[in-house]
Parts: sequence; structure tokens; C-alpha cells
Amino acid sequence: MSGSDLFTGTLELLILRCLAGGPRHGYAVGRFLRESSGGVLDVEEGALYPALHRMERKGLLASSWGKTETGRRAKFYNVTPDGGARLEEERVRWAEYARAVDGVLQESEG
Amino acid sequence: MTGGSGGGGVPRSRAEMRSEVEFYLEERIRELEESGMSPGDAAEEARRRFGDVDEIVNEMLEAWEPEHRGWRIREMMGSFAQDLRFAGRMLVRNPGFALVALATLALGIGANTAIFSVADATFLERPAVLEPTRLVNVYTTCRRGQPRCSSSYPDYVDYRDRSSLLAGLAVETPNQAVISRGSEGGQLATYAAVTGNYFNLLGVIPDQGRILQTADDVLEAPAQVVVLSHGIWVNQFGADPDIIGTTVRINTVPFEVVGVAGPDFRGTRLSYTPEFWMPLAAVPILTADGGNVRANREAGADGGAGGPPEIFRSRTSRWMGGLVGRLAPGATVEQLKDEMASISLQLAEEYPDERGPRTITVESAGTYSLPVGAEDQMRSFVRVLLGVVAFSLLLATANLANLLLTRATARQKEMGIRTAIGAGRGRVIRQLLVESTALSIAGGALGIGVAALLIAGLSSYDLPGGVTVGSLGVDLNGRVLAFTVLLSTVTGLVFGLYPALQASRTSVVDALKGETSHRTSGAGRARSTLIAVQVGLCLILLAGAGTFIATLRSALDADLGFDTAGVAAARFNLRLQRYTPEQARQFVQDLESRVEALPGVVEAAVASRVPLQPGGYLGILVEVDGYERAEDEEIRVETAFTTPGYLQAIGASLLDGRSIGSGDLEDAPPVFAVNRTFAERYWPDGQATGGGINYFGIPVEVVGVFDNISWLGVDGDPYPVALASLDQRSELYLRNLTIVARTTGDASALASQLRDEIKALDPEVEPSFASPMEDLLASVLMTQRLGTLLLSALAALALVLAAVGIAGVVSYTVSQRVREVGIRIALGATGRQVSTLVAGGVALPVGLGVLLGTFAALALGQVMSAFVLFDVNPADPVRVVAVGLIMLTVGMTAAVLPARRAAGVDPMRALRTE
Repeated sequence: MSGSDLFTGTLELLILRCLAGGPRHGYAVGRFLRESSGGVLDVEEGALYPALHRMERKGLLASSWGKTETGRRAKFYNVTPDGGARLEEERVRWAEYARAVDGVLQESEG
Repeated sequence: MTGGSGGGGVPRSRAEMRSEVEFYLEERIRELEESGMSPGDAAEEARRRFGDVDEIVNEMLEAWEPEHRGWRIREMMGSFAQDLRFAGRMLVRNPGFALVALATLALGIGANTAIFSVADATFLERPAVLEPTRLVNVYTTCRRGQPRCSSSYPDYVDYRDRSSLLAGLAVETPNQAVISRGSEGGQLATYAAVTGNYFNLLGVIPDQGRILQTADDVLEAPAQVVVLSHGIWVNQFGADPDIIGTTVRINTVPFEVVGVAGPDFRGTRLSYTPEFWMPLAAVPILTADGGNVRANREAGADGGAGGPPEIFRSRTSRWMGGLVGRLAPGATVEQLKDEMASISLQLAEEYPDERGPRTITVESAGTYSLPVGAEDQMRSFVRVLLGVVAFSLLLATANLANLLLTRATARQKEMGIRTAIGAGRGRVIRQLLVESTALSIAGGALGIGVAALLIAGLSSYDLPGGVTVGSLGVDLNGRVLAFTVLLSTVTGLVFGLYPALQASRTSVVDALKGETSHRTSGAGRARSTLIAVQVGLCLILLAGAGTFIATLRSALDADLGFDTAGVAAARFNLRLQRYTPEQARQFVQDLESRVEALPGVVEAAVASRVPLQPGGYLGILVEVDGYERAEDEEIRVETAFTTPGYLQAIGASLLDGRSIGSGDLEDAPPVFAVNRTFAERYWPDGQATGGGINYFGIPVEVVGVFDNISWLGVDGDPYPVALASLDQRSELYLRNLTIVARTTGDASALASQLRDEIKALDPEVEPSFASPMEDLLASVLMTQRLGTLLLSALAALALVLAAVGIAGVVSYTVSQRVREVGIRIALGATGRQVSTLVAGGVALPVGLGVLLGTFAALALGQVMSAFVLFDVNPADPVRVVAVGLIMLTVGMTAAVLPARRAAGVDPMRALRTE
């Protein structure tokens, strides 16, 4: 349970991070995730989509249909103010968490 | 609301979700192609990496819950329909399996449905009356304490008028009469004589005309009106639409038809279905003697002129079987019991001589009332039948589970592929359960047809208490169909679940490689367990069938004290035609001489009692001259009044002296011929003939002794019986009489000749039966025959199923172990060693099943003890062990036959095929 929560939380954090740079469609988000996580999150690629919709439902993201550079219809996602606030929050928490883990690891080494 | 555009509340469509996903897949395929994959590989790889599209679209929709819960349900229905179609295809592709499974299920579920519908009609069906649960049955107890005896009319009036907790109390008492119309022949029919408040109390509305009313039921001036049942209106009167207002004759007395009841209404008792209803007050006018010989004789010749007939005035004339009451609003049965207890105390004080120790029994009604005295036997009989069919279905279920397990192994490759293309384990299990449930529901649908056939086939059989299955109004009503649907579904889930779990555990890689060996251990254990269960259940059924067969055999072998071969009997009642005793005596004499003149007839006689006549042993108190009886000892004797030649006609033996002769007329000294039990018990010196008996103050001489005869049934201890002369009690010519005759020819032909001769003398006289003695014997053994029939058929089926199951498992094992067998033969094992090895695999489960089944059969034997006769021990160890040996033999034969195929395996070929 906690594992999947961690995964969901991480996935959402990564999606927010990806969209912080501006609106993107799902495929672009997926590609960003694959490339930036170095394959660590290489589970079912489709799992991205339910996550996007859950986040939209929670008000972290907004979406609208638009055209890609190649002129194809696609759905674009962007971060809402709530989403921005959440990203900040998560970033702080993650940093704290990482610091804590780091500390523990260094202690046991020493 | 901070969601911005396209916020949380906007419904999302599935199509929108799909096009989003499709965009992703197209882009992804292009990316993979650019990295150098072929277009086909790229598409496959993109889909594989994406996961199950349908599942993901569902999850996307779920993200928007609750708006899209409906989507999810519709989605499930859609994939359910898909599963169902797939299941249909699989069954069509394996017609052999489908046929065996459907036949097994149709028989198993059909038998359960049929027996459940009998149980439903017997114990659950409510009479078609207003608020049946507020009805109560009221009885007067017998002097010796039996709770449900008949009541007299004054008793009824006192119960009705003194109770404050009854909204009403009505009489519904059954009788028989001949009903006819115009010049059409008469029909002997069972009717209910009812008080004027009966229909109103039950809240029954007629289909046509009106109901009987209080104004019809005036004791001094009864209305000659009748309400017909729907059945007699259709069957005897051709559903005549103008029947209301026409006249029918009941025992030759004209009655006006005032109403026809609806098809659902058939009284409140299980023991009889009235074909018409008439006012209680009209009972005396149906008979020349005013309804009751004894009551009128006691009242004197005038029959109580001026007042109501004597049968309505005498408190000791207890002739009304059923009193049905309705509780007043708010009253409970318990309160009514208390009130009736105090009323019976009052009555005991007021009428100490007439009432004696009698009290009042109150019972909640609600469903149809079971036949008095046979309630427990009926309940346990139907329970045994339910248990038997449930066992059979369980056994069929085990058999099917076994078949499915074998098939599941054969389908491992298919399952592997389904798992590989992304079906989750749950999805595979669901698919298999849909298959087995679809199968069992189809089997259940066929089973409804089987049940209808079974019900029709059983309709002539009697349940204990003499209730014919056909008269129960057994039908496949909503309750029964709901039971069938539930049973079918549960059956499908039960026999499908384990094989489905087993199959879904398939490892993708192994399945595709064709490797199944290390998977078999779990399934093998399951198969062994199922074999043991099947063998055990089969053994229980066999033992039950054995008990019934042993009972029937001992009944048919029993010495009944008379001949059944060549003897026929016909019963008639001249009182129904308003004969006087003198006319009746003439009729009987004419009938006897006509029958004796028939070719082949050796002897004929008429009697008030014939052997194997259902009904209780009453017995009349007598004194035996020279016998000193103990303080509390009663000498009771049952009397049969006969014309001369009775013992010869039925083929009973006279041991000493003589029987009733032609000289034993009204003015001659009264005589008895007594049976062996009577003679041995009260004349221990063996000097019965010539002895004296005091019968109601009349001295009677014993003129002879005859050997014991089975009077009531084939079982039970003999009790004292005396033959007396019908001519010396001529008013008994108006009771039910039976003519018995012996022929050198065919008894069935004689039976119809007896009917013809009765009709020839008076076409209005309708025999209540005319049949060979062998049929009478069959009818008293009805319960045992029904049990034997059902249990033997089901046990035979079970044996076949078990044998097929065992053979199937062994064949399967052989096919799985061909390589091993080949190696063994190559290394020098003999064919015998090989087949022993293969068959030995089922020896343990078969043996275990026999052992457990034997213990269960011994333990369950006691349940059957209510239906066995003589000294048949339901848990007879010899029989149970014999049954176990049969089971063991059949089981091992079923194992050895396919195992011998293993011995014929060609080692070279076996090794090459793998």
C-alpha cells in the first residue's frame, strides 16, 4: 500500500515537474518521464493516463484540446495554481525526505 | 473551483478517452519505427508497453467518479457478454463434453427442482385465502389424548361462541358423494361440508356466482345449494358458462349451483381437495338415515322431530374433522391456546359424561394442513428425498469439477496465451466461471423440463399419509423457479471455481512450451479428493436404495395371510344413493349371485373390511367369558362384518370350527369367528371355538378360528379381529362395503367386471375403487415404492457417474505419463505391472471414499428408520459392507480398464512423440 502510494506520489510529482515548463500533451509527458527517470519508472506506460485524469479531477491540472506542431489534434495539460502550490510543497517534502535518508545512510556508514 | 478550463464537473466520454490514448499509441509507434523497428513490430511493442487499453480507459473514467460509475457497470456487462459468447464457442467446439455436462446437470438440477416443488406444495404453499397466517386449526382431543380428533357440532358452537379471541370459527369437514347432472352418469367426488361463515372467514371470492352464506346453513331448513370447484366445473361439466342456477344431483338429491370457485382455491387441507362445497346443514338430507346411523338410533325413530337433526344435537357424535378459525385482530395463537384451555375446563365441568377428559388443540395454520397423524412422517420423508437429490447433485458437481479439471489441463496453452496478451488472473478466472455457470444455467433450464416430466411421472405416487403427489397441486411456480436459478448458479460456481483457480495459476512460459508435468500435483490432489467425494456420496445413495429395496422385498415376501393373486375387490356405498338397509341387503345379495355367475369366479363375498385397507385400528371393548382381565386391561377387538364365503374368497385359512355361514341371520344367535391372535391371547387352553364373548351386552358365540390376516398394512403386530355376520347388523349394509371375489382367470379383468356388475344393478352407484388385490398391496407400499424408485434410479446414475469419473482420471493419467510408461516398458516392466502402477493411483481415493461413505451410510441409516418396515435395519452392517464392496469393485474396474491401455504403450513411439 505504502509502496503504491509512494509510486503515485512520485508519479504526480514528476508530472507536475514536467508540466511546470508549460502545457504539453500526454505523449510528451510520457516521453519526458521515460527519459528523465532513466527507465526506473518503466512500468506500463499507459498508467500515465489515469494519473493525469485523477490530477485533473483533483484540480492540480487543467486540460484543453489543441493542435501539435505537426497539426494533429491532442489534449494538452497545464498546471493550475493549485498544482503549482502542490509542486512546491512536494519539492520541499521530497528534499526533506531525501536529506533524512541521506543522513541515515551516512550515519550507518560512519 | 480552481480547476480552470474543463474543470472537475464536466462529464468525460469514453470516446474522448480513447482518442487521447490512440494519439499516444500512434506517436509511440512512430518513435519506435524511427528507432529501426518494422511497422508491425513497432505496433505490437507499443501496445505491449502501454498495457491493456480497455483497462486503462476504464481507470481514466474511474478517475472521474462518481459521474462515470455507470460507465464501469456498462463496461462490465459488455465484457460479460463477451465472456458469454466465448463460453458458447468453447462449448460448441467440445460437443462431447458439453453434452455430458448438460445431461448430468439437467438430471441433477431437474431432480432437485421436482422434489423441491413437492416440498414447496407440501410445506410452503399457502392456501389461496385472505391472510392465511391468521388462520388456526382447532381440534378436540381424543379420550385417550391424541391431539387431533374430530369435534361434535355442540362442541363447535361452544368453541365459536365462547372464544373472544377468534374473529370466527368455521367447519370444513370432508365426505364423499356422487354428483351428477341431467342424464349424465354420476361421479364419486370428495366434497367439503362447510358452515355458512366458511367462505367469508377465509375471504374467498368465487369466480362466478356467489359464495355460501349463513342464510344457506340453517340447521332446520338447509338451502340445497352448492359451490363447485374450478376443477369439477371444467372436468365434469365441460366449463359450462351457464352453470350458475342449474341443478345438479348429489346422492340423487337436487342442489342448485350458486357459484364456482377460482382455480387457486382448493380448501385448506393437504389430505383432500374438495370438488364442491355445500352447507353443513344439508349433510343429513344426503342420506336416508339422516346422516348418522348411530346418532339417530340413539335419538329414537322420530329423529328428533321439530328440532335440528340429531347429528347437530349430540355432543358425543364427533364427526367433524376440521375446524378452521381466524384470529381476532391483535390476538395471538398463544393467547388463544390459553383461552381454549379454560373453555375446555368449563365444558368438562358442564358435560362431565359427554366430554370426559377431552381438551382443545389449537394450531397455527398458514400453510395447508398436513394429514392428521402423518405430519412427522411426511416431513421426514420429504426431507429424506430432498437430502437424496441434494447428494446426487453434489455428486454430479464433483464429477463435473473433475471433467473441468481435466479440460483445464488441456486448455493450459490457451490460458497461457490469454495471460500473455495481458488478461489478468481475475479475468481468466472470470472467463472460466462464466463458462461453467453458463453451462449450469443451460443445464438448469433443461432441468426444468426434466422436473416437469418427473412431477408428471410421480403424480400417481403417494406420500406418507396417503397424499397423492398429483393432488398436491405441484407446480413450477415462482418460488420453485427462483430455487432452480439459484441452484444452477451456485452449482456452476461450485464446480467451476476450483478448476478455474487451478487453470489461472498456469505459468505463461511453461504453458507455451507445452510443459505441464510439474503443474499436475495440485490438480492431481484435487482430482483424488473429488474421486473420494464421489465414491463416498455414491455409496450413501446405494446404501439408501438398498434399505428401501430390502424393505420392499421383505414386504412382498411377507406372509399376508391371504392371496393377492386372482383376487379383486370393489368398494361401494349404498348410503350415498339413499338406500334403506333392506334395499341395500337385496342389492348385495343380487350383486353376489351375479358375480358368482361370472365365468372363472370361484367365490365372492361382501364385507365391511378387506385386508390392506388403510385406516386406523379402532377396536371395540368386549368381555371374554372365563377370562380374568387385570384391573386396567382392556380387551379390544376389530370386527369385520361379512357375508358367507369371505375367507374362501380372499384365500385365508380357517384353523378350527367354521366361519360366517348362510344361517347366521338377524334372528339367529350372534356368532363370531376370531383370528389366531384373539384365540391364543384369551383362550390360552386352545378352546376358543365354543367360547363366549360379551359384545355391547349381547352374548356372542365363537364358532371358529382363522389364521391372522394383514388388515392395515403389511407390517405391525397382529391384533384381535373377529368376523361377524353382516346379516346380524343389517344397518351396516349402508356403510362402505367391499365385494371381494376370487377367479381362476385374470384379477384385473375381474376388477372391471365387478365395476360393471355394480353399475348394471344400479347405474347411480359409483364404486370408489375396483382393483386387483395386488394393486391394493402396491398402494399400501407406496411410500416404500416411491423411495425405492427414486433412490435406485439416482444411485444407478451416481454409480455410472462415479465410474466415468474414475475412468476419466485414469485415462488422463495414462495420457500424461506416456513417456514414463514407455521408459518403464523399455526397461522391462510387464504390462501388468504398468497397469497396476497407473490404476493404483486411484486406489487410495476410491478406498478412502468407500471407507468414509460406509461410515456416513451407517450414521445416516437412522434417518431412514421411519420408512422401513419389519426388521429391516437401515444401518445393517452386512448390507452396508456389501454395498461398499460393490462400489469398490465398480471403482477399481473403472480404473483398470483404461489402465490396461497403458500396458499396450509402444516404448519407442512413446519416447519419440514427446
